[in-house]
Amino acid sequence: MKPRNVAISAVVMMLLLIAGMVSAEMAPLPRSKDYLTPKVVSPIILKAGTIPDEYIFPDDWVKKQDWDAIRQKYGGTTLDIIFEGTDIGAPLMTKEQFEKMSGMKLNFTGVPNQVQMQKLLVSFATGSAAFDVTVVLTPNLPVFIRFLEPLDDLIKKWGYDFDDFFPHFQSLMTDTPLVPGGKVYGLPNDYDQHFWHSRKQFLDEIGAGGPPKTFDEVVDYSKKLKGVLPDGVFPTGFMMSRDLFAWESFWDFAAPFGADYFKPGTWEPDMASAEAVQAANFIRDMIVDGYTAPGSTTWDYARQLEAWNNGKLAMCIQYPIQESYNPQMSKIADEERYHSVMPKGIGPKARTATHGTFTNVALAMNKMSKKKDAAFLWMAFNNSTEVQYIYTVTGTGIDYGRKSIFADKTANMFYPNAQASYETIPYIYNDIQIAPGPEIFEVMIPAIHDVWTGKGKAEEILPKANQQVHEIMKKYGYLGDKPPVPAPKSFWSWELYPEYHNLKWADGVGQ
Amino acid sequence: MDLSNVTRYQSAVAVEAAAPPVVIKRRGYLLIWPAFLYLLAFLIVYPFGYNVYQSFFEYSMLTDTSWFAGLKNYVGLFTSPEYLNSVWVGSLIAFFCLAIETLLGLSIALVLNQNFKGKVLARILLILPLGTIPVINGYMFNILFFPNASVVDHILNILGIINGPMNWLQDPIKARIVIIAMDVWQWTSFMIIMILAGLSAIPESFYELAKLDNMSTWKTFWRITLPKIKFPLALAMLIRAMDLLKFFDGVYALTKGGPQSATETVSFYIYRIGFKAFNVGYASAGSIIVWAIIWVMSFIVISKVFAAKEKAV
Amino acid sequence: MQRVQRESRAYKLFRIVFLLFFIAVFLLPIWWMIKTSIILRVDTVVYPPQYIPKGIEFDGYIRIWKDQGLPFLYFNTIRINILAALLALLLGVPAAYAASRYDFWGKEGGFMFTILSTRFLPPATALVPLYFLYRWLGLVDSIWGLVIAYAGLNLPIVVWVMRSFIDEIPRAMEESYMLDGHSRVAAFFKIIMPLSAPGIAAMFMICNFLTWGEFLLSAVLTTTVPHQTLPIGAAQLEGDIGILWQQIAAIGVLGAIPITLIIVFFQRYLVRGFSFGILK
Repeated sequence: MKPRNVAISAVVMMLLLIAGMVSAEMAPLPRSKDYLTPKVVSPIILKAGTIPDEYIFPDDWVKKQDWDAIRQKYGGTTLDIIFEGTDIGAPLMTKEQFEKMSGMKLNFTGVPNQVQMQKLLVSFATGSAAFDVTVVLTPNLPVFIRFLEPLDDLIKKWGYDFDDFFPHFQSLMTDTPLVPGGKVYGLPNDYDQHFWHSRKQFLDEIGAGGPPKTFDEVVDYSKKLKGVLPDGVFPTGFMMSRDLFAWESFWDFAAPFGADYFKPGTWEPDMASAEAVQAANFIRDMIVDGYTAPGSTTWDYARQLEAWNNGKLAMCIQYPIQESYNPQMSKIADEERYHSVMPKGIGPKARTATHGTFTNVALAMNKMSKKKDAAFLWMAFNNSTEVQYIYTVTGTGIDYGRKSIFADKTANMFYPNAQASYETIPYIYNDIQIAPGPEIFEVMIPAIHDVWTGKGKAEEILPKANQQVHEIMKKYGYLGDKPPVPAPKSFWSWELYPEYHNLKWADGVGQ
Repeated sequence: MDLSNVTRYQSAVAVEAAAPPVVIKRRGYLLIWPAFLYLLAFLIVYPFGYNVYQSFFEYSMLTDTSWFAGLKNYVGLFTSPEYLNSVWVGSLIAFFCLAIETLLGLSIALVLNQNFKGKVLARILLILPLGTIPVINGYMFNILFFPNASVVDHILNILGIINGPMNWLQDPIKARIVIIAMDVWQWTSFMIIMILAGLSAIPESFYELAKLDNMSTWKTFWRITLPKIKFPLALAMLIRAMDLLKFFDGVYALTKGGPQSATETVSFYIYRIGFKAFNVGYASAGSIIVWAIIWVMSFIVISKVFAAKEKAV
Repeated sequence: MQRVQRESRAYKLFRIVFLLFFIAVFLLPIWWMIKTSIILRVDTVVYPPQYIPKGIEFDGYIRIWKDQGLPFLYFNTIRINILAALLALLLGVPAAYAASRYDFWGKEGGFMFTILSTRFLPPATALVPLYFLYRWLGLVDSIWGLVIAYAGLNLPIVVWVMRSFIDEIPRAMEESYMLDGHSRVAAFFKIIMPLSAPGIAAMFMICNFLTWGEFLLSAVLTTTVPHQTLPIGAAQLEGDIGILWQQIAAIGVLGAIPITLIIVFFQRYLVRGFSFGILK
């Protein structure tokens, strides 16, 4: 060990002791054992096994760099980084260690997630964006591309293992999402997807052997659950607040029913197809029948999570929510649960298709940044294997999307959602991800929400909204001969990536 | 502060009626210009001018493209059911908020103006909501009306007023009630303060006269109290009305405009179009229309109020 | 009216019930804020609700102090609001004086009404142009940007309220002072200022209280912690790990203290200010 590293670990150790953590010796580079302490990770998660003393990912990108050389060259650089709301807890966790490794200084700014997009766009558009790195939600990425630095050269130069992410996750980071050949504008940071979560005790009570596999079964389960659930607990609960969550949840139903955003291979909107209408009515019926917790139509992610953590729902659609295993946050922390792939739709075009959610986050670089190499080094560090793994297991809300982590048996032990996460990959129905996207959302969201809350019939409301979307697409030239971005042949990963078809948790990489 | 000058010249007040008003035009401009220029620079020329300009374009910040639109945005707005709905909803919510705040403020202030034990404490407790931060109030009302775990439901159930959960935010009418309640909660205190100020300015002799005349309480209120507090009341209502027509906080925190678009106020609609869909031209036209509506209304109200004030004082 | 009517026992009872009812309603959300800041995170949204917390912890306060940069946020909010109030008064009082004492072309319909009408524009639409302007002036992400914006928000109210306040000061006083050979400027400082001091003090507090909780402008116009205000600090506490109720409520409690103190201890001043000078 180099003397400097010994000094670093001594300092870090002292700091850890002050913080009340018990740690034998802090590794010079991020090591899971140093971070996955009972203080941050729920004991319920830690019960799953012993965390190895050595690095879980000894060969990841961070471990292959010559940090002494980097420190020589980039030491003293200050990076300004924009992060979203409470998610900032994740990079703050490794901030100190990175500053020691690289000699750089990191300046984090949290932006309330309610105004994140607004703030970024306004500061970029007025030319006053002074930060080096920012998080961008992937569906908004096309809006920001004109302000961002393409990363292909930097990826090559620093040998970053971009290929370790699942191909469609990589594709979402490009300027031509889901169409091969685009330039990379972001590093994948947070791979949230929706899953179907159910509480085992209630499913056992109605004699169900496992989570529902189709939406028919969802209705069937809900009907039975209504008879057995205690007062104040509801069969299901969804995130359907009148903002982007309504859009996400709608496609969590519409895509499995067989609906598509656009007519295949074109940008002609098709959001009022028979299947879309059927899906909208299906949810409306669940609400009317009392299968869905009243309140769903006002719940966004955080508020529905609150209801789930308080034990008010028997089943729900949610992100991986590692934090609901934390007894400090959740009343059902030690309850047994199923985490499964979203159910299959109903009808002739039924399929398994989980909406590729809005919260896939890219870490992107400001074109105007004068410290591109240094900025890239931090981005790569923050999105490297072991660091991502640490963020996920400690329940910061950031979830990994790397093949190498799913391939590691030890790693998956501490992440109850690992299997569902892995099995969902072939079925993801990706978001639109074009620059006029937000304008489309603001047309569709009120329409969908109006149907759900009973303002009118889906048969009448959705076609009107679809017509408005058509006008938008026309206005921006997507319906002409040369659309600004080529239309993907499909948004569904199953059709886009045949190599996914054989992913099987049982005999695949996961075990 | 040196008040000796003040006392010395107070005697001059007696001859006020005789003294002609001083009118020096140039100096008047000189003094009002800094404030005017300031607003001109920071609020009128730039933001307002920008909005007027953009309202004639189809400008999207998302793609950074802009086309000349002429009056298309305005025509589009007047034929858009969403916009018309939002203007209607906005006025409805503003009207009820203002009416309830005024009536409640008036009745509480009248009671607080009486003599009784604990009066000072009651007064302090009743104006506390004014000191809180709106964003955080939004979160607190979120908890108070949390579906299936609503504190308000629990209290109403205990009191036997309702049975079972109310599902406040599921129903258009009830959602509006919650939104209005949140605003009334915070701003009634403002009305109380304003009205109390007016009430305490009424000389006791007025009431003694009323007593001698054997006037009923009701008559005293209409004949003496109300005319005397008319001016502060009208201005308080005006300040509130201007803010209420831009009503945003409660909608943003609780319903995001739902259910059934029943709580989408015009300010929230403009925010959604201009600041989420980034359809800047359309949103600009929308806010110019709102601005014009408030402008006309305020102009009428203010000229009436000040005409009345000239007479009263 | 207390002087008019003899209060019957029934009326006294009614008054107590009436006031207790409204006090209870008004205090419920405030109590909930205080309670949420100390109750265990897991008990925040439970049914039946815990009116008195069963278990308490002060984690929220510790965390906002350590992780959220509370001292910065607090100091900024106070600093920005005070400066904005002073700026608004500096510009607004002379304008109010002019409006009260002089008559000139376009006073009511032109100047005064235009000044007031700046308060009509929905704030969301002013943001983008303000941002362009601030970028040009180099005011993005500085406390001065917010000071200028807040002063602009308050200026119409300052001008209008101070004008009615000065209207109540008899003209004859300054005129006879001027007849003694003093200038109008001297009259302004020696007569008007002392007499409208309570009004100015009240306006100062009213300004502070009108912009104390402002969110949208502050959220977009500032970027870094050293320039952010309390409401932004609170709104940041919602994200992937859920809503940190405790910490939000803790900021709410601490943030409400200064304005509440002003309202409680300077109530007389506030009332004088709000009464637009009618009360002398």
